Amino acid sequence: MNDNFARILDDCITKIQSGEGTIDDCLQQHSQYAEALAPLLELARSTRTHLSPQGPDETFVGPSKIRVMNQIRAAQRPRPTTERKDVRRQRWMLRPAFALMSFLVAITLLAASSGAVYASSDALPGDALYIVKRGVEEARLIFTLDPDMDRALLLQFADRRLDEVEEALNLDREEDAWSALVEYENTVGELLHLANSSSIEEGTLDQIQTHLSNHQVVLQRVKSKAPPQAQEALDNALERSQRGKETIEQIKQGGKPSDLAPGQLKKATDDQKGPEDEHGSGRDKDKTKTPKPRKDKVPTLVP
Amino acid sequence: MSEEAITLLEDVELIELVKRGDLDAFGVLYERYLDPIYRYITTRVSDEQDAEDLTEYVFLRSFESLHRYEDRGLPYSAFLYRVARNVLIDHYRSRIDDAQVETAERIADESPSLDERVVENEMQQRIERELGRLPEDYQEVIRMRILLGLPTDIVAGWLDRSEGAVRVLLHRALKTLRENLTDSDF
Repeated sequence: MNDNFARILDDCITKIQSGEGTIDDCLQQHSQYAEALAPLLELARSTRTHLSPQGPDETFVGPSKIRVMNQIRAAQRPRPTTERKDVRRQRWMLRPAFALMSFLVAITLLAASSGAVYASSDALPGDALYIVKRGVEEARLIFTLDPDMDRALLLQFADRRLDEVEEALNLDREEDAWSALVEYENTVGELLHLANSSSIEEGTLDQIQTHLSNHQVVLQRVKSKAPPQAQEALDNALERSQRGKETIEQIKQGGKPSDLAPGQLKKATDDQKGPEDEHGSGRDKDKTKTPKPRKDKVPTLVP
Repeated sequence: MSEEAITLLEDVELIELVKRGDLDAFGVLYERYLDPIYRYITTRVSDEQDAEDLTEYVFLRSFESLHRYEDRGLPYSAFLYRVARNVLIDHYRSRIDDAQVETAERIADESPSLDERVVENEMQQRIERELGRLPEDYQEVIRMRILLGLPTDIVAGWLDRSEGAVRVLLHRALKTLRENLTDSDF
């Protein structure tokens, strides 16, 4: 009896939900169970009426797909930061042989492709020649043995990434712009890693800070023109450059950020800032009490 | 494959394409299941912004673990549902860790959230409260069959039970909910 009743109840609920029948129809059709069916069907109707959730807002659906797909694409791209560090480490370990080999390879490649290298200088992510442009940058880093030169190159490349973001957006190539933005953050990350791991003159630190300040101006300019779905990614990039400035400041003061407890550095500088200096979105500020998966903080997806 | 043709593919075919690197196929899956997953999340989370963030996170996590998904009669939507459920559990754990007041098992008691949107409705509050006090599997079957209006076969796939077992579970769940509401002067 129980299984049969459960089936009838389930069928009635299905018909009522699909509009094929009403509660009265079901009670008439199954009059022998009407007494038991009626309160449960009424409860089901009432529960659905009161608690049925709304679907996603239209303003969320489109941008959301773009955000998710961009994150997946960004996570799938090769991670130049890590690879570059590995290459650099190997380069120092195998220095004499590696330097000679690399020199010969570079001469050959440059001789064969100098035209392509020149043509690639204006390439954007997604262009066929972009790989040449990035390849040349990687090669320059590999062949640079001086950490100061490394830092200078990384600053130059970070500037370039932001130029690419702006240029791609001007051409309505949003995905390519976000690709460049991800690379910008990677480059800044590597720059800070380098600044933190080797001795560095105060003048150079000032130079890095100046560049990062300029980056913030560019990012704010891009943000003012960017579509709503891009605002969060730009906020993240702004936060990245802001943290970079704070890290450099800490190094200038004689400490290393790694000596500090998480958040300590940020708090110290936040205390000196007015509200207009905040780069986090209002959305984030409201959620300090509720840690939750953030779109920019998906650690396992973006290694 | 044309944009229109790809939207006509079955889930299993789309997943094969995704595994071969076709991200557009994942975009189709995203569009197909955004609505039910978002609605499921909102039966547990009242804050719209949280629900949107968690919904996106469900899809990111499902993409990450898609290589582990194999079609063995378990629909992709059931796979997504499990990811969503785990994301919700993590979400509540993180909140609870923060507040250090509750245990992670008390998802049910955290769930009276929809009522925050329509606090003036006493009936809604009562149903929501009593629903949140039901055993977890009772809650789930009511949320899926009644609130989301999912067909029995889909709910069976999501809960990894037979259709007959889902019908019996729904009957028991509604009966218990009614008894509890009657006890509290429903």
